[in-house]
Amino acid sequence: MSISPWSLVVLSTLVIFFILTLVAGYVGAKRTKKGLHEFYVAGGTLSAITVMFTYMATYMEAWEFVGMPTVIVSEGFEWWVIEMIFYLSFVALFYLVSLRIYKLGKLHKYITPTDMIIHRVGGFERLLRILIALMILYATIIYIGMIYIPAAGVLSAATNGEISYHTFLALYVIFIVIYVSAGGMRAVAYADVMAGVTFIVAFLAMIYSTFVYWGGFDKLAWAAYTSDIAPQIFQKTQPFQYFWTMLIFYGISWLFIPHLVVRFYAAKDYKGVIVGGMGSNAGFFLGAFMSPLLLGLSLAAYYGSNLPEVEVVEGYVPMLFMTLFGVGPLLVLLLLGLIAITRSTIDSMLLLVSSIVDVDLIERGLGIKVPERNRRLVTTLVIIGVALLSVVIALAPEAPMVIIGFELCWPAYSVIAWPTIVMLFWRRANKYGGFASYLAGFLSLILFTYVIWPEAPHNPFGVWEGTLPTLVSLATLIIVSLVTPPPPKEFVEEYYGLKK
Amino acid sequence: MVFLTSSEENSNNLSPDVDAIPANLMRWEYLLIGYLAFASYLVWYVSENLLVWEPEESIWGLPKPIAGALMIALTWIVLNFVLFVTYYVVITKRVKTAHLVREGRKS
Repeated sequence: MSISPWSLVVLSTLVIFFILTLVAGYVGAKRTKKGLHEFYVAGGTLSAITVMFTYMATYMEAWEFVGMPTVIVSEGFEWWVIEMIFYLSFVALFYLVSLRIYKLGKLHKYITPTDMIIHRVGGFERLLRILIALMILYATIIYIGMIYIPAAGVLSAATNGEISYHTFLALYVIFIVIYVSAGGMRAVAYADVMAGVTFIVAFLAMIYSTFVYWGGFDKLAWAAYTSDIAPQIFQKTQPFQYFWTMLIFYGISWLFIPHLVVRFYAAKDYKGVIVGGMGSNAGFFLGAFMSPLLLGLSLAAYYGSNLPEVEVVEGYVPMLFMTLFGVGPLLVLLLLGLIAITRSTIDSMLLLVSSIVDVDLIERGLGIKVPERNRRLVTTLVIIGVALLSVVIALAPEAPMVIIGFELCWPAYSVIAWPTIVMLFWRRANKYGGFASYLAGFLSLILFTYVIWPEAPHNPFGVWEGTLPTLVSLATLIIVSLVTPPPPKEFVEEYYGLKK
Repeated sequence: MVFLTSSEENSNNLSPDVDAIPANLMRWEYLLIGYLAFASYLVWYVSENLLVWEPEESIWGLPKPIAGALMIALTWIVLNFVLFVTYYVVITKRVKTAHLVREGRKS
């Protein structure tokens, strides 16, 4: 089979990028001191600037740069508006919740997100560790698989399908496994900085095209709004309650997304949390608002209903770049940006999963003792296992990544996040209510999604998919806690740091 | 339980900012509930009135859905800076107070 020189350039771009990040991983590994706290949360010493880039990289991945523009033309503009709605509640409560998580992380030297949950519940430790680990694993495997889709789809589309989606998928997974196995949190953080810088360059290229190609933002907006695809995509199809439950349940649940929580633990001081949060939220304005809007409108304006043929819809974005900029150095740079942002979340999530399986499930949940010298080996094996398992989601995707996320992935995070956030403040919650809430939330999620209402939105009320399981979880927390004895006063004072 | 607690850890090893961040909600933080009510109204307004295809109408010279998205995005970005300044000032002040209290205990 012959491959064109351009396709070889695309392939080489992927290889070179991963070699560079391997170097970052190697440097990170050399600097990594012994011990889990350093390996997983960088010893809690990341500065505000590094924290800011790691927050941004955590969110601004393929979801915003590729998934959202694509969904504007494939499913409708309303899905992108829903993402904006999410920020209304997420940004509002970000500082309130993140500072409390940071405080507890510093007070009790947590390593994994599960640590905080287990500690607060204050009982049923083994069972709860296993349950939470399974819940996070369920969500994260879908999440990683979901991001593989644009990661491979973008590169395949950039070669005009000469190198297949599945070839890039296999290459991508292999590189990710090698990279994360070689480093640690610090390596991921450094590579995130690289991803952030590359992203800014890609974003500037899009601003340039908006003004030079379309003649300004308003002209681009009207070109999209009067294209032949506009009557279909600029219409509301979801009821108001879907939008509103996204604001309340989806937005707030992201304040305890596991891979963000470890970033709070990793912050050096409160300034790291606050400045990092402000900077990353400002970055979201570019990355989550401007970037998908410009790209999505460009797709609608340029192609209308004649969208290009691609293996997965996320391939529209590189096709547009190729059309606007031609094949050349700028496109290589843009592809680098796309590779960087698709990768930055995957590797940090794999690291998170490895910490959860390694610490929560194997060592503390199941009680299997692994000698320190073998810990890295176990971690590596876990990363490989999860990376491979996630491929199942990406092998033959039936929906755009954004829809998979809204429907299947984020609801699972919501049933973890909501009881946890409530217990950050509600001292009356006890171990019975805590344990029962996670169990009821997860069971109802599985039941509603796969058994009772297998069709989206998995409920008869038109609310967001995660709403009902989250409500079940919260109701269980409150009712069970109130009908059983309160937690010991000593425990509450110790947990919240009230003892002087 | 495997976690360190404040009593096990020498409290002097902890940064004063840990003491400065309150476990309870600060009184002014309850205002955020009011904000969420406003955000709910904004979501209703945009979703029910602006997510439409009406090419003859515009807001701020932009198509209605795009203007609606802009309203939402501007709301959260402005709020971000307001909250950043507020939290930075409040927590920095509390850290200084906590530091003074700690120094007072030592002496």
